[in-house]
Amino acid sequence: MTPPPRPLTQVVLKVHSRCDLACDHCYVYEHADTGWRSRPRVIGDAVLARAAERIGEHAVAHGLTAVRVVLHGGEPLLAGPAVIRRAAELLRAALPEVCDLDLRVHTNGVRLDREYCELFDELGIRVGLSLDGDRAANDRHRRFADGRSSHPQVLRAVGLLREPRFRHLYAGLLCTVDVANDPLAVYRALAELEPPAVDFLLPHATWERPPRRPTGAGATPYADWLLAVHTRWEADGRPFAVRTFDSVHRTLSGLPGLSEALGLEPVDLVVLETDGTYEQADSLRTAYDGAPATGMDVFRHSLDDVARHPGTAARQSGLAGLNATCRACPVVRSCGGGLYAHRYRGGTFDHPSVYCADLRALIDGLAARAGGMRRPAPPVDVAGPALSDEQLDELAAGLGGPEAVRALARSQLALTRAMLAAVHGSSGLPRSAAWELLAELDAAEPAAVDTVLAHPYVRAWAARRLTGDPGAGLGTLAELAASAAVLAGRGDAVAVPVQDGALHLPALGRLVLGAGVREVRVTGGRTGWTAHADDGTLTGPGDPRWQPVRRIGLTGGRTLALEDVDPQRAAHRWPVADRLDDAEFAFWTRDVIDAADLLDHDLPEYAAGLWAGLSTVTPLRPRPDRHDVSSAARQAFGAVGIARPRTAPTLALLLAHEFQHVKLGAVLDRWELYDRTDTRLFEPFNLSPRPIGSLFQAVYAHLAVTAFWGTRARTDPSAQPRFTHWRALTDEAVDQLATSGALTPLGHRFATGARHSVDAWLRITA
Amino acid sequence: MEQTVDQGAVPVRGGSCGTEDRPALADLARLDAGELAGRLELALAGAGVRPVSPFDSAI
Repeated sequence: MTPPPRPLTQVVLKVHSRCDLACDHCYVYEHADTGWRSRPRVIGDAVLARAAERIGEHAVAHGLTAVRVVLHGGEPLLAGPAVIRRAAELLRAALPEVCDLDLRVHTNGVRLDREYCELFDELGIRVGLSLDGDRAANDRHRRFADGRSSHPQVLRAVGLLREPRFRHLYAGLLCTVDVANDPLAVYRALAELEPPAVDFLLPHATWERPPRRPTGAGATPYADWLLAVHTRWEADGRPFAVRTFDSVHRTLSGLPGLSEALGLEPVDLVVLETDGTYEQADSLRTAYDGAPATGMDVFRHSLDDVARHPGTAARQSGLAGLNATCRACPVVRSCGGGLYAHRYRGGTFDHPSVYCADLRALIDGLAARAGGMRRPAPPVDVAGPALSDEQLDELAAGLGGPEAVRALARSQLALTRAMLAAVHGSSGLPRSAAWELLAELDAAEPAAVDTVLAHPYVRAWAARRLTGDPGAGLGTLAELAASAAVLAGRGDAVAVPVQDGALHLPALGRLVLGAGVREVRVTGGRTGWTAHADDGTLTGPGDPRWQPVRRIGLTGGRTLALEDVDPQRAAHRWPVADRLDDAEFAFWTRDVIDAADLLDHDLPEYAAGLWAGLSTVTPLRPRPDRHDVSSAARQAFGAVGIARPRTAPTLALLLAHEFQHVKLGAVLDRWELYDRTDTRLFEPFNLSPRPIGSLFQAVYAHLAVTAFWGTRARTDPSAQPRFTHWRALTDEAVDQLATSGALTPLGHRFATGARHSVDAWLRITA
Repeated sequence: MEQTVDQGAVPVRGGSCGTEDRPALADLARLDAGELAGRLELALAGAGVRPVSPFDSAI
């Protein structure tokens, strides 16, 4: 039997095949391939519908949890809003519920207006823009067919994306390098637009069509150009992510790269043209006419077929797929042979990149600036101390007393600390005052540091950073150091970059500063902290603009944080609520106190562990239909997200339900309970089809749900139907889990524990 | 790759006071980030964002 191919998780969907600009460096219209001439201008509805079906079936077959689709062209906005809306709707409808759709559009910006921004906001489409720098740089290539500049239109488009209303849609800027442009002028022009991320693209070229190398510019003009930008970027404190640099920093420290153009990671991208044909990669257009073609289309071929295509496989073969020169090169793990298309010569791609000398100089230059970065890790268990057999048995039954949950929390703290170290180790920073302060406080004031690092969303940020999310900036490291300095109160100071107009102190709160302030020096003194902003103002916790994380006091001296300020709380798969006003906070306080009392009284066997591990409730936005919504984020141990429900008992149920996910997630961080490669789907609890991991989570959460209704049914007859309903479904789902054939020995132990818990409820009512 | 390996420590203020159960941040940061991330594979598997974004023409 043929093994399944590596899944394709990124699709470039061409919704229009023509462009309203005539950029002379465009690979679509100006290079070797001429396939665009014969294609429909706009993607048709039949192609769109079939493409969505293909993507959906691929997601189901491979159990994908996320798919990225980039609407592209030509110029995608030429397709018009109706086509874009239709594409978004078809794609969302075709994907299984458990698979996130990361939908983006990449545009030249000329037609991006307020109406499009409204549409993208409604459909959740993020926007990338092409811009080559200042006007002189941009005008060098990016002009209309009649020679007019496109620069003013692009600036207007970026201006829209920078408005607070649309800022969340602003994905970043793509800049094609031209060494004739002044690198610092280009950098400054891009930086002024405050992009969250910038990608510098080497102009597509091959050995047969080599890149321009101006006389007197040296042997490595592209590396020199990028290193000049890097110097300024570092001096400015890295105000935005630069994928080219981040990718090299990561690969130098052993992490995967972030781009097909750098690193050895297998590609997982396919291009879908307006006529429904699949192509391998746009960049191949630069090699020869027909180079990207696969001979396949959405009507006759699945994405698995494309994934098995020799051209796709060639770009997935890592080190083994490179020529001997590259395989022997000391920087091959960072370079990866460069972009596949750039290796073309004499009918094959079995050569180093035409940019080989530049890539080597760039990587060596960045490595030298970063200092030593790699050192073998000793065999420490980064997951911290192990749990006892008794504690695992408690957790397997769906419960887990305070000691078991505290052991999970210690393990989580150890994981967060390791992630933080990996973040710093892969940052490419030769020195970091924030990191050095954090490390010093870790030695001198461990309680202060542990308090900050136990904040649920610290790990959420670190995980985003490690998985290459350009939105997870290194500024958070300074925020963590500042929070620790404030808690330590020794007089330590650290400079913290302002993010979205606020100074964020994780676990403590935020100081809203507004536009104009870029950096704040935070000092943690014995009698409180101060914040010196770079506009000269001095403030502190007495400032009315300071919004502390508020805590709700419960009986027995327990407290629960209501987190409504940390930007990292967006880890939940549902929009978070903005800062609560006093009235709403009072409602939350009342309901949380009532829910806590109810849990203590009705569900003590679950509540004991819950209070040992639940530190934070993050208010979510209510659903438009007012149905309950709640969330546990795998990367945020100790937190649950909830839109405040109508009643305190419902809040209690949601707390218990979500904390089950929190516990199981922490177990899964240390141990495998099931075969993660199993792609079969299950339909527990009348839910949509979902993979084994979701079945496991659903069973675990519903053990608490069954107990909740079973306990209430003892005193409230109206709870009886819900008890019997959830008990029956849980009983059935436990069987599904136990007989799935996908469990590890420990997974079987958990399934057996769940069976015992459900059987106890079955016996009691019998 | 070896030429980018530095066997020396990253300079940090203060000293290490970690224990086996709680290695100091300063000590953890001297370790190979890639290997650390590899040991965190179970914990990072649920991050939801894939680690590679091999897209050459958009962000």
